[in-house]
Amino acid sequence: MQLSSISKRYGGVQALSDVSIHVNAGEILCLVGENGAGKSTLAAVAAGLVAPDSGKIFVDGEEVVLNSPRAAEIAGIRLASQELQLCPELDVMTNVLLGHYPHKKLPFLVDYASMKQKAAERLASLGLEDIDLHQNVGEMPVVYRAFVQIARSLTPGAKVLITDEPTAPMSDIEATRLLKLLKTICDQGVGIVFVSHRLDEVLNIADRVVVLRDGKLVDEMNKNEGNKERIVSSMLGHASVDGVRAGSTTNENSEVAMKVENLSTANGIFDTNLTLKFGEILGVYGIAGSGRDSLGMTLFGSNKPTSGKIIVGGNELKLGSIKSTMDIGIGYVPAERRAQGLLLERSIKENITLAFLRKLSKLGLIQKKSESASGQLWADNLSIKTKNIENAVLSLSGGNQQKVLLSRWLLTGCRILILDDPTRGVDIGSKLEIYELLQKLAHKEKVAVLVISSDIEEVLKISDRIEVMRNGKITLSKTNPTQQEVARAAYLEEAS
Amino acid sequence: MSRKQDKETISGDAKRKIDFGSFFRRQGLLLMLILMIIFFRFQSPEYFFTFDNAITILVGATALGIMASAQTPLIISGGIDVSVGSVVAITTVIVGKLLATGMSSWLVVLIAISIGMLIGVLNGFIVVQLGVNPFITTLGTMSFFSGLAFILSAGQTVSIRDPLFDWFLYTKVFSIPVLVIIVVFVMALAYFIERKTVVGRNIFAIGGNKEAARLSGISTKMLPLGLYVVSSLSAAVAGVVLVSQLGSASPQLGTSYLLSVVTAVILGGTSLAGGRGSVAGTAIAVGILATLSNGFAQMQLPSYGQTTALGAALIIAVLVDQTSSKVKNK
Repeated sequence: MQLSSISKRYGGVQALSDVSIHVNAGEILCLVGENGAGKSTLAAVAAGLVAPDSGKIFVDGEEVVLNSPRAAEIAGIRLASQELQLCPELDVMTNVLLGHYPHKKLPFLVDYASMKQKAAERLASLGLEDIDLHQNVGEMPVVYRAFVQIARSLTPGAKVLITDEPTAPMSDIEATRLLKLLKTICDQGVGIVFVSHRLDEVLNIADRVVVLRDGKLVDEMNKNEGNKERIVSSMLGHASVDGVRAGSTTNENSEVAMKVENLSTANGIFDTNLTLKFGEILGVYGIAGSGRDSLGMTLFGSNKPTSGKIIVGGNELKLGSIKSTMDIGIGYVPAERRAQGLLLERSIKENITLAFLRKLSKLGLIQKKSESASGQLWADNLSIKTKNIENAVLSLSGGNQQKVLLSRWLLTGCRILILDDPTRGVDIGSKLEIYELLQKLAHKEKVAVLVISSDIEEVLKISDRIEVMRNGKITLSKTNPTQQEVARAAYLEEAS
Repeated sequence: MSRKQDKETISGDAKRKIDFGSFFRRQGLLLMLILMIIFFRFQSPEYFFTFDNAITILVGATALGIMASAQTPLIISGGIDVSVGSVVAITTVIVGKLLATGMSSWLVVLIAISIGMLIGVLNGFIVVQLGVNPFITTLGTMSFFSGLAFILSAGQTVSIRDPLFDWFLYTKVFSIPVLVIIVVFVMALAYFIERKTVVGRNIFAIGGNKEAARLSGISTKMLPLGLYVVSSLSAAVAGVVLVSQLGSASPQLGTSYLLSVVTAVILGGTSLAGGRGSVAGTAIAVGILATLSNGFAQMQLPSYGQTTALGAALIIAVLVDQTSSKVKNK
């Protein structure tokens, strides 16, 4: 398969520009890059899920037009995507042959005997004999589902298999097995495009490595030329990040806002310590699965840690209670704006006042005037672009929606603000406005701001201090680290 | 049209469109009600359009109106309670049983209503605390308690003559029956809570996006639990109203309310998915149902025809709603 000069634009974002890759039969090509570098878009283009704005695709030297997943399948391209596409209520053998059931003489009668045999053959050819054909997929451990997914995608005629971060939820042992599986498939003459964040795996398995950055192909290396340092430096580029960090006024004596001691959770945080001071922005960076993703929710009391302490204002915070967390003056802007933050059909005003409504009421009656006044005040303060705060929040752009969420917490007057990926899916203009706002909050109003982010540039740009997480632990804790240091800690280093 | 222009149109018109949608929906319902009244007016010129008949229609709508007022916020919050009919049944049976023992009728009413509320606590506990789907939960309790009502009463209808219940039925204030005053009061209260209070706003928040509500410090357990209790409470009150209206207690009393309460709420524009709806819409829908039943009776049409007409109206109303929300989302 060959992808030639592929470009794709989403709104104002150039997701891919002029990217060409090829993968030969029986070869493993690894695709690496930061979040938003264009890996998933490229995979989607190859699988016929997304139509490129320009560029050509060739399979076996012939040009093909992949305008639907079906067209890609006919061309021999198979995608095992990040979100598993399996039916959890059906058993393994049905899932493996989903949509390709063998039938008896009458086409509507499924031939279960031959189905079982075919499914067993497919699994055996991949070295997956130990998977029970009759187990429901929904009852299997998540990591095994990835194996079933791959077995399912390898229908006859498969020439290229694209796997998008299959190892993200896996432990090392399981990941090793998956890599072995990919090697087996590759030995059968199928070309593999493997997308991963884990550089060890990549180096272990790849015949060639392609590095994407900001939608561009920035580096390509053969197995023997590849090493972690080179990959990391290509991923990040050498673009210097202009430090806007000036203005930090914290020092050793600044008052501690929140102290986290030996925090562990059931969802990926192990024995973590953090100190957040008033008047600073503390940035926490980590890749997916590093524990960074569940830190914010845990600190906000959404789920109960298995052990550890959170100390705010000299008192131990009651763990796992959003109410106590809010009462003590902590606000939280979640990562998933639409799923976790907004009431999309309700007005901007109602979304702003949601967490503070009780204070804007007397005896349970909403004080209309003070509600409108507060809503308007914060819409103006954050220059939310709307003609009327009674408009549905749905009508706003992503950046303005994010500002609505921010004002929800600023209105409560919280002294500690935790933000998960505060600029995800936000246009560049709003991004800068949000950064400015956070800096003003921390440096002028002495709010303690904790920014948890999957965007390395963001963390470097706005944080006064940076903590990096990897495998559930803090691997770096430093004032003004370089990009290289942060990247090393996030990708390479094991916590001591 | 360029993307930018597109965005501007949306932000400028979104509010107007949404309002227009619900306005159209509301007016559509009102129009339906008015057309129905005109139609029946010509079918039964000498009687239908009289004050007495208007009162008859309203009295007939009392039980449904009370239950629908409580069901509306429950459905807005993302829940549902189909067990109200069986709560009606069990309340009336208990009233009949206890009155027969010679107990004070005030006490009887109090006990019956408390038992109704307990069923609400049970529903709420199963849904909120144990996490069972609300439809399945209340389907189960519906079956359970309607069966229990038959067992307790041995399927018998008991006739009831009691001064308290007669007072309910016959007392009028400025020639308006007290029952009508009660239902108007209940609806007004529900409307007030929906529009003016923090609780009302929180109900919309929970139904619209439960996770967002939870992460904004809104209790996503106590409030829904309370709504189940209020729903059962309304059914118990409706049971007492029905006993006084019919002068008898029967385990069959609730069966006709099995679905008509939910039907009224949906017809009134409340979304089964939660987050959207209004008590005002429900009030008009209850009016439609009551007028339909009154008109059919006067035209001496079979009552089955009513349910057929209602079914058609329900589907058309929901289709109109979905179409307008699709337009809105574009």
